[in-house]
Amino acid sequence: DNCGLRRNRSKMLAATRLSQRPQLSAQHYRPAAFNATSGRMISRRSYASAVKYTPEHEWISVEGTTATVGISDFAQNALGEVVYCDLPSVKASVAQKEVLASVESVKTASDVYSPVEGTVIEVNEKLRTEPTLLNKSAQSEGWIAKLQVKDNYKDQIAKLMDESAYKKYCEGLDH
Amino acid sequence: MLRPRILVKSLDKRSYSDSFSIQKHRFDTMLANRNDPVSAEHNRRNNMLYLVEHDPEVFTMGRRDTSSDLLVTEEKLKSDHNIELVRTTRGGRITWHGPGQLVGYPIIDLHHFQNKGVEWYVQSLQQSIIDTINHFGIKGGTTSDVGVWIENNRKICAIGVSASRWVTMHGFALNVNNNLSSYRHIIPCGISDKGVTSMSKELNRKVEISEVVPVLLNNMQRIFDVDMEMAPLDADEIKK
Repeated sequence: DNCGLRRNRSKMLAATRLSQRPQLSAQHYRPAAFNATSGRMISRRSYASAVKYTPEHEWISVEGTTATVGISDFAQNALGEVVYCDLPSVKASVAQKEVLASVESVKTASDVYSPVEGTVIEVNEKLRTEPTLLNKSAQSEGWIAKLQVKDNYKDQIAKLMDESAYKKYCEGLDH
Repeated sequence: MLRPRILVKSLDKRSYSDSFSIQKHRFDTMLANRNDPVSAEHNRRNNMLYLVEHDPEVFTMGRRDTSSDLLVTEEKLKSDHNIELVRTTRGGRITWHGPGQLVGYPIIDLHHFQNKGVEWYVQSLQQSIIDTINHFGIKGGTTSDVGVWIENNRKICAIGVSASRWVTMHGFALNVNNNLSSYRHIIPCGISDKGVTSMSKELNRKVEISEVVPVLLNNMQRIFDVDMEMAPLDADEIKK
């Protein structure tokens, strides 16, 4: 019966589409990739903002109302081998420039600051058992936390550096 | 541009909590100064190194809970031995501080040091200590565990630091002529199969902290490539 087959097929297709939708849970998370030239996060959705950097070497990328925060590759290199990550609690709220997380390397506890005001909706659980992920992939798989942000995030990140400005900033610090 | 400068202040014998307040105040000031280009430049020439001997003796832990390194309960430590356990914001595990141990707290902005970062900073501290004890004829080295070790099996200097927005706090603790018996209450830095030692124990004579300080400062000046100068205490840093 052709009608039956068509109905089943469209049900199958619908089911597939649902499972392909990006999930916000760690289990289904696909690591963010960044375009090396533009700094834009490559995602299934095309409206992700470009990566921005703070002078303290944190990065932030916003997709809709979700901001992903981590530390830059420059920062992980300056830290040395990370042995421990102190992650925030989910549902914790954090103000802009407040301590979001802490990272330990060479007997040094280093604070990571939030570039924006927001509420923690997800943390990278992998960092608890594999802290060196921060060294291996600071700007991709080593993301630290995802925050729910409000519209004011745009003002808060307006003054932050884009990829090329940040690169110059890191080089310029060598004087 | 001038080299960065570190001012050195001697707090003599001071309690852990007093010393921490002084460090914290200095740290907060340095961060606040960053907001203004004039005071930010002032920061560059006014990084700080506080030298102190902690009195009374204390045990301190880092941010992670390492109470398993304590071999007696915190209550017994207080009731039987009159020693306090302090939880701090530094990295690293449990350690001891007391008279006869030279403790140094550099409050420096790593941005001033070509932004080399904390790994470089800790390695430079280690090297400064190694070169210092070497001057006295003690051969020290590093292992996979941060600190300065003698023959890989006894620790002579512990290091535990914190960095917030690239400004450092906490620092190092070099055993000069302190009594080592209090270490029996802990597994120092969580390492159970190695010991602790001091400069006096290694050299079989009493080494004075006053002998060590000038050598250490010379080495730090060279290794960090900074100007170092002794400076008097501010009014709020003087012992009450």
